[in-house]
Amino acid sequence: MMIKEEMKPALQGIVPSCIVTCSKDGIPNATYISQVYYVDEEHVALSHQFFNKSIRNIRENPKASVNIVSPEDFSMWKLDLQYSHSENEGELYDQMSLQLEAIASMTGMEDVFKLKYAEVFKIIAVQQIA
Amino acid sequence: MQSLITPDLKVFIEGSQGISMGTRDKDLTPEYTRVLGASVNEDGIITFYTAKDTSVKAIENIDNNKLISITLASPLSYECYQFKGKCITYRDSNEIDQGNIERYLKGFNDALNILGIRDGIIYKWPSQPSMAIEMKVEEIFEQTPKVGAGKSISK
Repeated sequence: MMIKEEMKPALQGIVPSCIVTCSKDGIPNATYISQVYYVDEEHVALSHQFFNKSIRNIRENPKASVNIVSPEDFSMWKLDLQYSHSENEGELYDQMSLQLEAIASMTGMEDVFKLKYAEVFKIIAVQQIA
Repeated sequence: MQSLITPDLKVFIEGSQGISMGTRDKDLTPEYTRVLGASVNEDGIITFYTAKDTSVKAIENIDNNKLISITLASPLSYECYQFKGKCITYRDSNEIDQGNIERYLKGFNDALNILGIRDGIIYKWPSQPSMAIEMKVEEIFEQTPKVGAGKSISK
């Protein structure tokens, strides 16, 4: 089990996460993202809005490293991820779209935050870093 | 060579932003590391700080290839920039660095308070002992959330 109960508040999209990816020619890229969404104990989905370089990197090199932060006590974890697949319809996509709309309304980004894809990743490793 | 860091960017970098570092190993596996503040010298070199315990893998990666990406985002305005470049050197933090870390943590804590985050909560994050990592910036990208985000602003 990769995602433990105490980590779930960190997957509500309240504190933004950072995704680190790497291009095929070896350049790391770090970008803040709105959502790291709980799919099941072994998978998370990331919101694909406009982090285009990250998406290009993941298509070339399917590895990613993200942090998640609990808004309750600022505990932080690092997740090592492997890209699985993308979804642009269905239950997961609809749930993430709803959560993204809520995040956008809290941050005044209604016209900017539109979910293109739910990018699903398998969790390879978890490390608590704070 | 002229610095890529404008006066406005220097103010932003040394402000109370959320800061993250990306590195990668020889197998192109990326690594996230939390950053605890940054400063810019007159030559445009960024020095940023990390907790030693949480940057072991990042330092291994820097030893392997020197490549660094750091991204800074304002928690209040969402203004965001990514800086890509190479590590020049790293070392244990000195007294000046420690002062910069303390100043950063206080400023970031104050910014989070404005958002309703509980006072003092970020002091849970490990900050000591710490490292100072010096980076020569080669390219800057604006990443403020909007259409067109990700554009290079340094070339």
